Order: sequence, then structure tokens, then C-alpha cells
Amino acid sequence: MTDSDRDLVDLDMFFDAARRETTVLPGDLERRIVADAARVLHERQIAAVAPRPGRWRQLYDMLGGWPAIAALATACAAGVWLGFSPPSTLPDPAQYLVSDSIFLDEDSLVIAMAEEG
Amino acid sequence: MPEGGFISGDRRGSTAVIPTGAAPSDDALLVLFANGEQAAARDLTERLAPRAHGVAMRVLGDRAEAEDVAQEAMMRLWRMAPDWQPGTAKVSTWLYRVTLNLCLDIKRRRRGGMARLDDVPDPPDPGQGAAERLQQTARADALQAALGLLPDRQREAVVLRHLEGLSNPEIAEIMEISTEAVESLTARGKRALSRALSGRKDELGYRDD
Repeated sequence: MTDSDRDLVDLDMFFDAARRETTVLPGDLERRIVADAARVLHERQIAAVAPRPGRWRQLYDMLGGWPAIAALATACAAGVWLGFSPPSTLPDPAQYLVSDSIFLDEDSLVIAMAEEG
Repeated sequence: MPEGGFISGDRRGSTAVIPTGAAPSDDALLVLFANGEQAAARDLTERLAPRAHGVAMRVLGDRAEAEDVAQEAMMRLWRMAPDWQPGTAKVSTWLYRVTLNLCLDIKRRRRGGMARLDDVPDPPDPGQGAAERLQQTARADALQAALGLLPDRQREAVVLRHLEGLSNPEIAEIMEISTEAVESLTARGKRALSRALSGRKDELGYRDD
């Protein structure tokens, strides 16, 4: 046995003393824990009875709420506006709707290819 | 229906057998709670919260923090209840693991905050009659202070093995290590504890026989 081994103590006495010093649950803590349980149950019951959202609501949520809806509506309005009143630098798509010459005829295609060499 | 008992089931299909005439298991109480029985929460609190509080108290050495940990561990138990699969593991094992993890989080936040053994007040001078009781308290306090000197994993293993009285396989499950590792941790922990307490043999009434 080494010197350090001789200095070791039997711990059973200390463990026994610690076990006898039972940590009693404070009454206030017990009340808080039981109140937490009641709150969790209440939340679960509310979630269980809450009506399922309708399709429009699901679509609304899926798109991302009112900011996304507003952005989508603005983009649509801008698209329609550009369609009816395009800037002068862009071709007017309305002309294609009323014109018969949407597609290039064969002669125009030959001329265009000849010009490009 | 099983002989001598009835089955508690829930909407998820989980069931737990509750024997008639015997106290329901932790499993059964948890299923009952998941089904909305508030009374089951009170029974589980009486059974399990003192254990969570006791371990937290011994690992952290701080009353207020131990109360917070016990409350949070029980809160996680309430929230986990609907997902519990009866028969797969012991509820107490799950709770011990959660409690130790919460303790570890707190200790990470306050590294080096444990009391030193020398900081613990000397045992009071015992009067006639109360001497034994006071000495026991002094020993328990000295052990608590010595526990605070151990590395976290050694302290957890020693507390679970020698103060909570759990088996090595159960501790291995809680700490998610092998049984051999548990044995090693407790052996090293006890050796360190013994050395820490050897300087206070006389004042704590220890006699070598």
C-alpha cells in the first residue's frame, strides 16, 4: 500500500450521510411543475379543437401572407400595364394581336438571310 | 385485456398496461397524461421530480439552479408525452438524461463556478444529543463540496451510482457510454473524492479501524 492509498477514506460513510440528507422537493417547485403540466394539456386541447384552415387560407399561408400577396398583385398589375402601354423602346405586343404578319413569310426570311451574308 | 389489469390507450395507438391494485408504472402514467389526465401529472411529479431535483442539486450544488433544471426537465417530459412509446425505455432514464444535459448546459455557462472544498464552512461544534445529526450534515456537505471538484462526467457517474443507487447498465444508457466507461468513471471519481476528503477525517468524525 502506498502512502497515498493510506490517506484514502472509506466513502460509504459520506454516501450514507448524503443519502440520508434527502433533498425534499420545495412545495413551490411542485406547484410550478404541476401548473406547467396543466398548461401543456390546455395548449394541446386548444390545438386539437382548433378548426382546420380553409383552402384560401392555406393558399394565403403557402404564398407567404399579405406581403407576398401584395408583391404578387403589384407584379401582375405592372405586367398588364406594360402589356397595354409598353415603353417606346419596346415592340408593342398589341400590334401582333391585330396584325396578320406575326410570322415572317418565306420571302422575308430569304431576304434577311441574304443581307446577313 | 391482459389478466389482472386494464389497458390505457391513446389516440396514437400507444398503450400501457396498468395492473389493478398496483401503482401504475411511469409508462402508464405518462400515457394517461398524454390522454389528458391531469391527475397523472401530479403522480408523475411526486415520483420523478424529486429525483431530477436531487441529481441537479448534487451535480450543480446550487439550489436555485437545481430547481430551474428540475422544472425544465419536467416541462420537457410533459411536452414529450404524446410521442412516448411505452415499453421502449424507462421514463426515469429519459428524465435523468435530460436533467444531466440541462446541468451540463448550465455548467458550460459558468465554468469554474463550483465552491472549493476549503470554502465549505467547518462542521459546527455539536452539542449533546444533536451531535450525530450535525455530523451527518457536515459529512453530506463535505461530500457535496468534494463532488464539486470532480470533472463533470465523473461527478455524474458517482452521483447516479452511489447517491441515486442506479445500476451501471442504466447509468451507461443515461450517459450514452459503455458500462466499462461507467465503471472507470466511478472508480476514478471515488478515488478523487477520497483524496479530497482525507484531509478532513478528524473533524468529520472519521476513524480508521
